[in-house]
Amino acid sequence: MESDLRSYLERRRRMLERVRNLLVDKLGVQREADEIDPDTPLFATGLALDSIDAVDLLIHLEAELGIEVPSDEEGRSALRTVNSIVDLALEKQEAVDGAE
Amino acid sequence: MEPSEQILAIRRSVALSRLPHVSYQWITGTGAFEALNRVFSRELYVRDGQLVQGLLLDGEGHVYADCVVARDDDDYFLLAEGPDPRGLAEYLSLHARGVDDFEIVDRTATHDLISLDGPYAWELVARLVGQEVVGLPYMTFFHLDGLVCCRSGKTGEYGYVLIVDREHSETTWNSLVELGRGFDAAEASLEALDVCALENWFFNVRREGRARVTPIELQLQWRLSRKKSFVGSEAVRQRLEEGLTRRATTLLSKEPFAVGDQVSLAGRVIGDIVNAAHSPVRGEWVGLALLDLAYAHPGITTLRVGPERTSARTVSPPVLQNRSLYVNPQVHSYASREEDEFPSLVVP
Amino acid sequence: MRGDVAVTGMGAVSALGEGCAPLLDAFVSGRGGIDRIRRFDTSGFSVHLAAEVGAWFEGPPVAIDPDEDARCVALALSAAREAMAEARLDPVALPSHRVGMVFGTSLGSLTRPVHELAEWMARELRIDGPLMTVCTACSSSTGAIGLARDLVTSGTVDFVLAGGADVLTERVFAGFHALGVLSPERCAPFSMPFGTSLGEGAGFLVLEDAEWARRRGVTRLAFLSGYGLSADAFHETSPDPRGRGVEMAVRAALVDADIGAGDVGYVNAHGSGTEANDRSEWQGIRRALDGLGTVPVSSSKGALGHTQGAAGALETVVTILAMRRGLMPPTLNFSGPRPYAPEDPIAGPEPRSAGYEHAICVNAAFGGANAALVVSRSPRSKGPAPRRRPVVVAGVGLVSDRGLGIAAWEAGGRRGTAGPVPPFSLAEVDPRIDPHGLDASSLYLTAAAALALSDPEGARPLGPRKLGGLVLGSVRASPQSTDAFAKSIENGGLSRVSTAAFARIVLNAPAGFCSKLLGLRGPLTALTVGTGSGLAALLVAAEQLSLREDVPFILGGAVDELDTGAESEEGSGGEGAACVVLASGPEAAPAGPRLTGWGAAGRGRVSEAIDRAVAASGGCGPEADGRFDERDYATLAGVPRAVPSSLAFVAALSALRRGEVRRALVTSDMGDSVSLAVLVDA
Repeated sequence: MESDLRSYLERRRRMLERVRNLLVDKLGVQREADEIDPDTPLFATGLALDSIDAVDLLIHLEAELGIEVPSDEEGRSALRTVNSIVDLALEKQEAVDGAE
Repeated sequence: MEPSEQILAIRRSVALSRLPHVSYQWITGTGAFEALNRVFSRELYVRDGQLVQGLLLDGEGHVYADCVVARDDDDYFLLAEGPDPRGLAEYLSLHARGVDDFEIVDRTATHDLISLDGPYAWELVARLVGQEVVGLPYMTFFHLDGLVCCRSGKTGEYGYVLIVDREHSETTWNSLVELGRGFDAAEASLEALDVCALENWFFNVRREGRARVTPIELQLQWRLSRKKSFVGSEAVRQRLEEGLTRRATTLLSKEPFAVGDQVSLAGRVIGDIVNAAHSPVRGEWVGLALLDLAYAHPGITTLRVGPERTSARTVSPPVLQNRSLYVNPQVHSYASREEDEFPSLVVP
Repeated sequence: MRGDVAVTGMGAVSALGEGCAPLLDAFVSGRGGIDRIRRFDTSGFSVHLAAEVGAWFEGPPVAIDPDEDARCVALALSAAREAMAEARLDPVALPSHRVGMVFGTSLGSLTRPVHELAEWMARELRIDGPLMTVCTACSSSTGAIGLARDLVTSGTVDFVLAGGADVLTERVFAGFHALGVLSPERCAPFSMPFGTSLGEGAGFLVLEDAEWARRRGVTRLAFLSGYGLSADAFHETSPDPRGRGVEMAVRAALVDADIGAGDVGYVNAHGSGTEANDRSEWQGIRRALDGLGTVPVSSSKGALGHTQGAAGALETVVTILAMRRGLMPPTLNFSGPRPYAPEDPIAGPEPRSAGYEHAICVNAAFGGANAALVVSRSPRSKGPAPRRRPVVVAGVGLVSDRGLGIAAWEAGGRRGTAGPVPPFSLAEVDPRIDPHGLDASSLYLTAAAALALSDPEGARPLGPRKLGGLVLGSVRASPQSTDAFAKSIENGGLSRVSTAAFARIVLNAPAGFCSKLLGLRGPLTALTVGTGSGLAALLVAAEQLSLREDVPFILGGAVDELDTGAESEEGSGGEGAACVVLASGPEAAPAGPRLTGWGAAGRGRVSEAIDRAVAASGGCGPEADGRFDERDYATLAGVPRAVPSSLAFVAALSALRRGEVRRALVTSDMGDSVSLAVLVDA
């Protein structure tokens, strides 16, 4: 139980790092990775991405993290904060691991 | 009307509120930028007609005010929550000592602020001020017939703040109430707005803002600049160097909990609650806890909170799928809401 | 009397056919041109429709690479020849140097400097007058027609061919697709579903003095009575949601034409069909027309598709064809209004029979460049020509290989910029400007413009920023952004192009960023003539400013960016930016150096340009005692650069300020598009 939680948090931290780095390296967010707090909103406020960045974000999420963000409601709620991307990425990872 | 009904109006239709707790001040003159830039917690990149969210800190790096700065040509105005208008003006003057040519004009006493929040707020406000307001992007404003219309809001829904001079504010309010009947508009209290802010992870200076922590613990680094110096920046830098030990994280529970309650995991205390409220949309209690950094992540389902050791879990905010994400003014209207299909507000 | 300008010839190629006759037929019969794309495979995309010029188009043979450039020139030549034939314009029989051309294109070419397309056309058409190429994305040819009008009224030429051409390429299609603005169905302006359909084609007009045309005995098809330009100063790809830029452009056009809102009988809107454009554009138009929401408005894009840089010219041709027959062209594919649509969108398929005196054609573009034309049935017989206002140099800003500012440049000797710009932060110039997301071209231009606006030696005050304009001269889009766009195709394929990079591969992108960051909402345009583009921009700015009382100042800018990735000599030479603030009106202090005359002529005709500048200065004043020629500031022969001609101007100004000369003559004739001359008095 305790070790399950520890490994979950470890996976979560690693994915958070990857998402942060992607935002800095690929999306050109003008911040250090550790400045990007996990619940920071992506659009309008927070990181203040805009509609042009949204398309690039989807492309990089797929290319770098292998997650295809659905174009439906699930996709829209996955793109609200840094953590919501991490949520989706972990979910997809689990689905893949489960299948293997 | 019960707060829960007010909240449901904000989430499903629209609610009107008066905002007497917000200070409204203009900073003018060629020194206006410099005067504000010394206290504003991030780069003051704001173009004519735009608003930008930031913070004003005290010397210890704690939040003094939650504020929005707007640029109107070369003048600025700010809408601030936290301090009273006089205290705020004194704070600004104190820190702008030595800046030439600027003036602070407090308009809190001469103007009223009316906010409209909800997935159909755009439609109600358009009835009053015209269709120009439709399509106004978040964090922008414009002048119209003696009022200022800001697209802002802290509920995660379409939100507008109308700034009206006191002489006309009652008429404006009454017109909105009248027009609002067609939208089942409610009148929302500050309490209701605060619950919505919490659900949507908007910073609340009156709750977590009083927790005597820096914006770093509150996950507000996006409102901080690491490049410029401002009041409190040295304290913040110091905290960064010491390293973060706790971080504000959103919690949900089926049972009540309250500010000050402790949060524990496997019998060990890992943090305490700094904001809490009942979420009528979720039918759960939602809160913000300062948790030990190792556990300050969503997805922990085995937490206990409060004296009753109620079961709780950490989640990624916002805790609901705001209808405003899916309502498009060019497609939808309040009148057709029954036929329009939207995702449910809550994902289980 | 200010001379009216007549349209005496028109030509068109589009999905609806080659020539004006099939174009009119299609509009009369309600036939549209949007269909399944045949030229390239669209299976990787979710949209498969566009208005292609079909395989029936043979066009003149054009021996340039790549194919898309050849196709662009072929389309343009076809339309230009048709227009010249109708105007009975035979350059062999006429003095060919009295015929100029202003060409508008959006991307035109990604592989060669785009001014070469106009130069190729001019050789084929045997035109020897001045050539300019306007690149403001989707409003390119609208702006081109406006600038062409000024070439006629200023007496620079007797005839101007004005228009534009663009080709539907897979890359452009991919960019629009990635932005999510393409409609899954045929473009339905003001109706549902949201989205546009791309198109391609060319449109050209022949403009000449109306009185001259009457005496020549040619049919005056219509009169171009006014035009207006403006900037949204809002976003790279999204229009100002309140349509304030469109409103300013339409207002400026009405003022220029000296007509009232109630005189407008028909509006040919941009009406691209996108969710963002149609609502905001209509809001802007309606406000500019004093709230007259009942004016008939249609968009030709349901039939023609969005023909990008050719849109303005083709839609003006459609408007004139219809106007002459007492018709209003319909909006095709209209199946009921979307919210906030115009009250009277002239829903098709049939045109409406209606006589009207004045029509407005509006276009809006990426980078926020808006343009509006007033087209009239009869000459305006306006009052006395407005006096030309004095134009004062009210500031200069420079970014060079020696860093920021004039002083740094002078300290290194007043030479051409010969290497990379040393790294700098915009905060050094103005801490209020957000530098995020700027490519090198946009950064240099914005810094130079901010420096110019705060030049301590400049004339003050300048008047409201939001009325100020910007004319950019450059030779290509930012190599940094063009590379980023190419890389995104390499990495992800055409279905995953970078939208951020796509928005920056238009030549006017730096002007869009600069106007946005500095809040300049007055006349905005971007043009190229190859080498000399900086001085050309300055001349266009001066011409606009001297005639428009509603504009307090305009910046004439130039930018060059090194292609650091290129192994050829493109990667060497100089880069930088120069901006000159020109001011007029009661606000401009009369103390600053004055532009007393300027002139343009065809390639290799600098003495003609000088004569014209001297004549424009009234022929009085001292002989120029200082000559500043572009050649002395160019560092690399054979590679087109915009900035050297601006440096010649800056050197002149600096000599004037120091009292070294009293009257300076600045010249540029290194390029193959145009020769330019400006006289500046201390």
